[in-house]
Amino acid sequence: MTPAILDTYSVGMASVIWAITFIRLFVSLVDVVCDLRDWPTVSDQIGDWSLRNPWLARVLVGLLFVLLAHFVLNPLHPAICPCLPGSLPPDHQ
Amino acid sequence: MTAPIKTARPVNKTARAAYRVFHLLSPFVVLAVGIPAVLLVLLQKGHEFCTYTAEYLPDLLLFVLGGAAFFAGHFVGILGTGQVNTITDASKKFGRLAIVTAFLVTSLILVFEALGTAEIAVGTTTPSQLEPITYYVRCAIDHDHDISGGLFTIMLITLTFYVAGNWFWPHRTLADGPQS
Repeated sequence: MTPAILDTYSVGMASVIWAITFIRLFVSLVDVVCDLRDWPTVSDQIGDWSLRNPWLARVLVGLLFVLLAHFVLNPLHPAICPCLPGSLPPDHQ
Repeated sequence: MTAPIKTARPVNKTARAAYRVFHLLSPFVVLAVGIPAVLLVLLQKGHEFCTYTAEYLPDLLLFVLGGAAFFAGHFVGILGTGQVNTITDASKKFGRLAIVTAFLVTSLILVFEALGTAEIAVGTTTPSQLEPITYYVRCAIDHDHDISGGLFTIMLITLTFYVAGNWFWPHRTLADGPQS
């Protein structure tokens, strides 16, 4: 793996942030509409969905915790880390 | 069709007013945080590579923090405004649209993950390619430790799992039975 292949942090991270921002903006705008009309908010709607589908909600929560564990409970350096030019051990170059 | 749901408690008007102000301001807060964050990432130089100069992960405390925030999101549901919502045909359709869109966007994120895992090229003239979301998230955690000592990581994990606890483990029951 060359450094050029790893050179996608900016566009990749920006895409992730855009996606998160879009989701939160959408939810907050829907919440405004629901609040002004005294309708159940997104939180109410999803809460009702969770109460009607408890097993699906549990699976979803389980998936979230698996993702969190995947992100924060693994070491940053893999067994072989081609992070910098020339950082590979000789037998991997 | 109109039917009352939720609780028969009296409405706490102060809490109700605060709740409404929070809702009205929240889209602006999201934009005020999201747009500068994207611009900063795109304009930032020096973090193109995930060099991982220090071993910040694994961090069990971050996982425990997520669990604590999840339980907090559930039990904060005890504090309610007492507002009685009304359910109409329009609100039902709107609610379904919100849930479908939320899951659709989640699916799109997983498509991005699939593209990253498949090592799809970003451009045709460069060998650069997208990486799995895990790569960017762990890279961001590493950079955040360098910049703020991990403050934004803590905030994001707390917020995400607080919302998950509040949404997917609500501290209430379906007062009028299951709805379609």
